[in-house]
Amino acid sequence: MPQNEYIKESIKRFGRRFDHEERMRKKKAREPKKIAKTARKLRGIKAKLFTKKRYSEKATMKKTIKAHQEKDAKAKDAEEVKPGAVPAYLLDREQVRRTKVLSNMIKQKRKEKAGKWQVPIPKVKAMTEDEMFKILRSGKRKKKAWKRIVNKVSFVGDNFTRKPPKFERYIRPSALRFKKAHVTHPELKMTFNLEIVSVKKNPQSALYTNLGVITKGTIIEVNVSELGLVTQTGKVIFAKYAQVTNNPDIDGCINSLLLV
Amino acid sequence: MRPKDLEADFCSVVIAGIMYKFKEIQTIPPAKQLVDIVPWLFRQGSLPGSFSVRPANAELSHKGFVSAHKNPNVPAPLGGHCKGFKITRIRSFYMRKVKFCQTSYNEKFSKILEEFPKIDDIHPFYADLCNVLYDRDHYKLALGQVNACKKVVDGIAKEYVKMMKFADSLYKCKMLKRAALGRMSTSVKKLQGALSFLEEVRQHLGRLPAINPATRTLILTGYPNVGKSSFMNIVTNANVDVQPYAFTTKSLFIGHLDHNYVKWQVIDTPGILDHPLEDRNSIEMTAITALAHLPAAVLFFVDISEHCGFSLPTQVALYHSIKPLFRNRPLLIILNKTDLRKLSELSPEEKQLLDSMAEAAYDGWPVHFFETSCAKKEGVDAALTKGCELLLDRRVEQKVKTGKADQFRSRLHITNVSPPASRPPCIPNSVLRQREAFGLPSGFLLEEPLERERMEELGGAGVYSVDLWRRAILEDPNWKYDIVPEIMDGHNIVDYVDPDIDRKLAELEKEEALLMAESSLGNDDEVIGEFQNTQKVLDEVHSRMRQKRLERRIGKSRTGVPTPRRARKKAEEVEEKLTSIGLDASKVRGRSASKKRSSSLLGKRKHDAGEDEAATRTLSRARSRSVGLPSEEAAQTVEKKRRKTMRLHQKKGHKGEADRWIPDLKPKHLYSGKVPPDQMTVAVVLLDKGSTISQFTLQIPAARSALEELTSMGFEACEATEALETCQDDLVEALAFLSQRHKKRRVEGGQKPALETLEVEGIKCSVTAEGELVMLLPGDELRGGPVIGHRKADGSLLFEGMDDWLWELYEGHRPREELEGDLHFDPAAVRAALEEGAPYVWDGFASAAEIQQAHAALEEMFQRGQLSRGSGLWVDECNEGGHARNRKALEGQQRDDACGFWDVQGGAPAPPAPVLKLFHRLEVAAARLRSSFGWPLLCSRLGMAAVYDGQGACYEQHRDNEWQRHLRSRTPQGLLPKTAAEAQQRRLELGESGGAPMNFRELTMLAYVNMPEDFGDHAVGRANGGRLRCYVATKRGDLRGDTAQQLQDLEPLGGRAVIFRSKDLLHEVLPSFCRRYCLTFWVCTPH
Repeated sequence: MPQNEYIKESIKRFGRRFDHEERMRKKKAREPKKIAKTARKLRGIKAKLFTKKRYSEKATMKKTIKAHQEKDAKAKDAEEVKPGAVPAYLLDREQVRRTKVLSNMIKQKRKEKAGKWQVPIPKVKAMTEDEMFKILRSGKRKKKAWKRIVNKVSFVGDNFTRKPPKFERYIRPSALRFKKAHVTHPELKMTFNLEIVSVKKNPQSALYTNLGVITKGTIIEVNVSELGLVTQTGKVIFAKYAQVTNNPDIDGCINSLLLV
Repeated sequence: MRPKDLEADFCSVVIAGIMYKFKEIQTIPPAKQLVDIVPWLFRQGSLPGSFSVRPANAELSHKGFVSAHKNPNVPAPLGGHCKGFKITRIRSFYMRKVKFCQTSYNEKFSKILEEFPKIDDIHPFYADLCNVLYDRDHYKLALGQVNACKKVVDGIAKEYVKMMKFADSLYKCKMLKRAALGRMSTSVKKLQGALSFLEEVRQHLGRLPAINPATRTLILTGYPNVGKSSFMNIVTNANVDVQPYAFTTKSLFIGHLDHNYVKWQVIDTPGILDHPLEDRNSIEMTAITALAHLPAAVLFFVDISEHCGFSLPTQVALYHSIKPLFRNRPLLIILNKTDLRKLSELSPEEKQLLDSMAEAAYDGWPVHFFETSCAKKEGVDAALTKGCELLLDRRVEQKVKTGKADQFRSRLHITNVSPPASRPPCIPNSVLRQREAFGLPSGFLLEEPLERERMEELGGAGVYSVDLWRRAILEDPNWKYDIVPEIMDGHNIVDYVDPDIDRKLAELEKEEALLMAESSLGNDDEVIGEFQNTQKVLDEVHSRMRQKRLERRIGKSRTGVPTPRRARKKAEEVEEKLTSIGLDASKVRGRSASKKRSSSLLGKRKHDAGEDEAATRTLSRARSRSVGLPSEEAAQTVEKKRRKTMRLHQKKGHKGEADRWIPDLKPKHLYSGKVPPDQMTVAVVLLDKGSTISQFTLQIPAARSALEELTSMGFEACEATEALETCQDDLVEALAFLSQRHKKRRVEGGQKPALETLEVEGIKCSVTAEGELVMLLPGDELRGGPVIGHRKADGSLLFEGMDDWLWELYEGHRPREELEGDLHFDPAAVRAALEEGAPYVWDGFASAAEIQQAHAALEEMFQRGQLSRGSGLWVDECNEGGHARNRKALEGQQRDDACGFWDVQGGAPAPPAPVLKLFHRLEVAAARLRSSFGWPLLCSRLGMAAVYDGQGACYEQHRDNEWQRHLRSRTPQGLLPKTAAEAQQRRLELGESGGAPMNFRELTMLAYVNMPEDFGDHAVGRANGGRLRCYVATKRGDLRGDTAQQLQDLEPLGGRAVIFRSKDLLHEVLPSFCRRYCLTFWVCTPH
């Protein structure tokens, strides 16, 4: 009746087979050959997965070996000169570093000022109208071609109501309407899934901005109230701009970088 | 309840119809592996209706549609087609991929959720056990995460499929798919912890003992190390580990036993310590769980010897603290280890403690004490039986109370009749009486002792032998052990046994011993040695015989596939067999019946002919080989020899006469002159009265048009070509050159240019008025020889090449007459014989002394090996390629002689002087013939000697250069026939067979150089054979001499010469059995 730790129990009672150690040793010794054989045999995706795994294994192994070697390596000279050390004859002098600090502050400020109008993706590839819109033929004989379907991801506000078909020139399919975007805070190095408030600017054209089309490089306004950001004066910031860094229609999501 | 119901499966537990298949939960792959498994399913072709596109992994791009699209970054035109597929189709393909991935994950997760036991639904015992072992919260959380992930994956798939509907290019579709699969994998990867936890749980669950919570159960409990497991091992075959330390048992163990014909399960629990429930560890908690939830009899173990390390009061205290768990359960208190300390040895305080346990029982159920010793196995059975009884009573009572027993009760009928006290067996009176008569006891018959008992009685195993005849019922019991006769084939063996055989044997042995004693040991060795010697000789003889047999067998030439001897059946046998079973056997023989031919060549044919005249008539006539041979024996020897040589041929795979043979694969005449016109060059030599004026090579194509122009203007062709040569093919300059040189000498129209002498490839020739290139004969320049080329329409000359026989003619010369004066030679007789078609025999051609000298010279050369094939002192025809004119012809002929050439006109190799003299005499004869009849005879430069080596060497029937018949004729009359009519005319002129029109060999002169004792019309000479047989006046085309009007056999007598027309006369050299020398000299004629 095998129950509980019956394998261990059996080993405890009857021991291993007499050549167990030898077999294990051999098995272990054969292991690399076996792996090599598999590596040679595998094809296609299996091979890719296998090599990837093996590569990572080897890398870790090398790292460990190196780490162990470092232990053996000579310890660094303890007498190393620390930064900021001064010779004895200068010890009594006062160190003046304020100028340096000041200039750093100025630099920082300038940088901030300049950066205010800089975006992570300053230039985008121009898109043709063909790419952006799909012509929807209308009319009894499908002969009129004035309607357009927006092929790209778009943001449509909550209170949007479609116009009657006669006047609806641009159709934004509901499958391509996005309400949320992944927003990365560049300083926090964290990503949040935040609601989109509006599309501020689409660099391709004003029309797209009006339509709320989101493409790479578009500046969107996101709701950052969850983040609990405050202004210098202590007010809570509700919305902030972010720039889209990917092609949402290809990736199926909006990734953006918060503009701080 | 029947025992069948109780049979608990160890893999699964049946409780109230629900089966817990803890062991059947499928392995849960780690998250990382799961991510790989699902895309791997793509590869398995599970994806329905896929394109012939290789499926993709989430991380990996693949070649498929995309490969058709050169730059994936550039989307295809709107609504465009990729690789001929509609965008809708592409979309649906990728959608399917996404959906497939989602469903695969979904299936995997659903399976996990389904298989793992839901803690709220299972039996509280198991639920609590799970809680104790795996922590209920943790377990539920893990399953919840799996469920959540499943939903996330579903959501992702839904979202991306929706977006894919608006994707307008393959690239977009593919990227969306990629993103979808990637997101799914990411979410699955987050499950890592949950999945690995579940896998551990699965493994542990599978190893849990299969406890059926509903069945009859005994639970053993108590402090650690009090002997629970020992008890378990005694009553069941569970084989639980027993060790002399506490907490050996760390989990529940189950064992089974049979009591009262039903199966019981015994649960061994880990020991429990006496402390509050909160402090108990998970090992103790498993025991508590079992006690709390299983309706079983509880056996509480107390170690009264206190060897377990816990004092009696502590143990009793534990009892009191966990007492509530024993409620409603039969309780037995086992006072264990009595072998170490008896109950009687306990102090009164301790006894009082024990009594306190009894008092504290619930519900008035009595508490039973049992003293046991697991070491000595004392009191174990009593305790067990009591426990089982108590539980069974309790269960039955419960069933009756709950009405469960009603369904059985309605089906049972229980009588109230009590069985009688005694029921002795009834033995009929008759039997009793009979027994009395036999002197047997009247009561029960005592059984006979068993065979085993008898065995023990009579000495035990090995000594005792079974008496098979003991129970035999025979008329007279004394017969029992009589000897039974042994019968074989109906005879009693005893009848054939010689009663004296032992005595006779003894006598014989005695005799032998005496004999042995007589003969000494040395003698014995001698005999053995002799025997061995004989044996050795015999062995050698036998081995040689075997060797010989083997050699003969190998040496035999086999043409057919060897048939195994057994398989070889005679046609008659087959016929007989078929007729015997009533089938038509007429077809068996088939062709062999009508065409039965004997394979033997000599004797049998005659025999057959005598028997069946009609058959003989139908036979094609074979040339008898015995004709011309001195005797039948000689014929047979010849035949044997022939066969022997043939055998070697066949064995070595050499070419035989029956093999297909093409005389010349690339006959020169067919290849010469056929050079493509642009590469053709003509060497032109301008001669004036024999001296060379100029000599140049003319490239034909460049000059062709110019040349035509000039010749049409009336210039001579050679002048025109010369002019063109100097002016480098410039027509205008050439014209100026010509006019300046010749003052425009015009040849009158109609007047043909005179015969010019040319030298083409070193051969003197001229062009006739008809435009034929004619070879000029030596010393006969004015008379044209055979045609060797012609002028083509464009004025160029086409040289068709020289054939071997043309060389013979070309190199010929007029016979020199001044060499010798007197000849016993009559030209008129020669002419007469030749006109008859017969050979002219010129006896007395040379004197005996001359012949002797010549013969000695030849013999000497032969002895040195200079007249055999391959030697260098003559030009060995058969070996030498350059001089071997007839080589190709010779190969196909049955010719056994060695032949070679000498230059008889003073060149090398020259024959020995006596031989040269004979050649010159023949030349003189030719000169005589030329002068007498004005025949345009030319002697060839070469003379031939042939040696027949006297081992049956022969030369089959032939005409000289007969094979040239098959080649293209090239006669002075013209070139190839241009029309069918012309060809017909030609054929009429030459006769039916086509003739040998290019055969210029007019006369063949043979001179025999043999000693008179070797050949001649005497017995030895006849036996030596070697005669020249001439088939006089055979028809043209007959190569076997069937149409011969007369046969003429000529002995190769020394000093005899023979003159005949070898191209017309069919002749043969019969097998020669003595060395035979023959000189041959040819005389040619150009016409």
